[in-house]
Amino acid sequence: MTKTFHLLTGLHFAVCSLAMIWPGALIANRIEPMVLGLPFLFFWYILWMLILFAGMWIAFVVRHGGDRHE
Amino acid sequence: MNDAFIVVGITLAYLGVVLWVGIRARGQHSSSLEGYVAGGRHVGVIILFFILGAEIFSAFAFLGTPGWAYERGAPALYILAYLALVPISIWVLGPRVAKLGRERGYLTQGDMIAHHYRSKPLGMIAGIIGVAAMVPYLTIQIAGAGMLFQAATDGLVPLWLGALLAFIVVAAYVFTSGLKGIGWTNLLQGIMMIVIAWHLGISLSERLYGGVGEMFSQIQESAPEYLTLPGATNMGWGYFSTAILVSAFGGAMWPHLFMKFYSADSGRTLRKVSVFYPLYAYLLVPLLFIGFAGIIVFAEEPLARPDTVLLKLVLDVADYSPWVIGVMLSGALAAAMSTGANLAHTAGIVLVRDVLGPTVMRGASEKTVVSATRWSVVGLSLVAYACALANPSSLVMMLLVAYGLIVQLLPMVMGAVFLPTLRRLSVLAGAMAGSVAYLLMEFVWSSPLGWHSGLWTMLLNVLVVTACQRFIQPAADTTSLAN
Repeated sequence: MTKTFHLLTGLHFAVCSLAMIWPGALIANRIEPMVLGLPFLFFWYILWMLILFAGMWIAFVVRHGGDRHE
Repeated sequence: MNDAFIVVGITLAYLGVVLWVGIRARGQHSSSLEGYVAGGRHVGVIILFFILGAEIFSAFAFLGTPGWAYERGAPALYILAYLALVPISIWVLGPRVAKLGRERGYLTQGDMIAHHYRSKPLGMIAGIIGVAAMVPYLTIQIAGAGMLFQAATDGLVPLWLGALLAFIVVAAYVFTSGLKGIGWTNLLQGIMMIVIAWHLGISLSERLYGGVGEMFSQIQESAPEYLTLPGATNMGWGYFSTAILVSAFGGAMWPHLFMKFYSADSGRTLRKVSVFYPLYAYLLVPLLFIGFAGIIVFAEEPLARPDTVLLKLVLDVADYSPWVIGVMLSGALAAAMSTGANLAHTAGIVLVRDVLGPTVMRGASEKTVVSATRWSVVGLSLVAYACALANPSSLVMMLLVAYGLIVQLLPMVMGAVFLPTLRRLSVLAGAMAGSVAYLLMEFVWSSPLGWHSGLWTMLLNVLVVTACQRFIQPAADTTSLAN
């Protein structure tokens, strides 16, 4: 459980980091299609910030949810 | 003239409220050193979120973010990326650092390093680097506050007076209330900044272009190079990516961020804060809009200084009432002051505990140490104020040097937290090699492949540490403290 947990959070962190730098952001380096009025590259960062948050939230609930102590 | 008085009036009222909130926060813990420094290690989620978050919203972020977007375009997204990635460091390091701090009574980075490697001088080196790095940073905040006052009041409040007002307010509540004062004022200042940033970002694009989407469509037609990398100034992918990595992962070594780990009431609290941290980066999005708004407006006559784009748009182009300008100034001041408070508080503690503690103040009572820390906060703020008035153009340079040095603490700290087999000699050699190489790359050679020199020197640092671990046999008395 602990090992899988660390592996999965580590993977999530690595994917999110790579999505925001080279080479991940390379595939999103375009203006069209505009999403929410934003150029696609701009939207890409907005999106990955949300994905990072969502993954960390899940990890937090799995690891610390309900447990008031450490 | 009348308008300037309204602006000044609103801003002074705001400064008064901040002062009142900060001084009122003086709680039962403030008489002990631990209470003053780490809030008695009982700071909860919401306050900790704002203490850590206010570090993001500095004067630099408030003016520099729109400046980057205006000057370079898409490379400014680097700011969103690195802020969103900072919580990874908090998630990984935070709970362990908080636990070690609670168990062994650490309050600073130097404490941890000195104790773990059984070397007071090593702790002192960490302390000196910390203070040297934070003073120019603090100077930028104070100078920023003065510049804001001067611009928004049309010179009615000169730079020296504006900077002085901000400095007095910050020093007063940090002096009396310590971390608790910073927590409550940052809660107030955080809300202020969020409201102002979003209001300005949306209403400016509304007034000038008829909406955010419309604004980007117009930029796409007239200047599409701003909307994708490498942007208008041709920033390469290598630099863009490595700068994000160095800022996101090396940034946790800044003492004012690192030391807040000790103040959390549990590892769980720190993890919870880190979960919500990526959302903090969303708050900077409207500041990017403001910068993009300036691209077409100032296409004919580019601004000499890109970081004035927010002020120019609000004061000269969009016709806002003095009331809005007063509130805007308060929000921007909030950005400068909340970061300044954090920095002054941390720098004071590090100076007394890591640098003076093992030398001139050996064996001083806790009461003496608390009062020395308080006066150091005032003293260091005064030094920063003096530097702000002298306004040396080398300031950004100093900050750059400081950043490269502070990042070199990473292997040393990782050793203390996770890798008990690392030895004193190895981490010291690594840090020295990394620092010297950084200075050489910044000032003598250029960095290979155009990457951020922080990344290269970090790699060198790790390489030297590994080599020393592998090839130098430990003498019996230099083994690190076993966990």
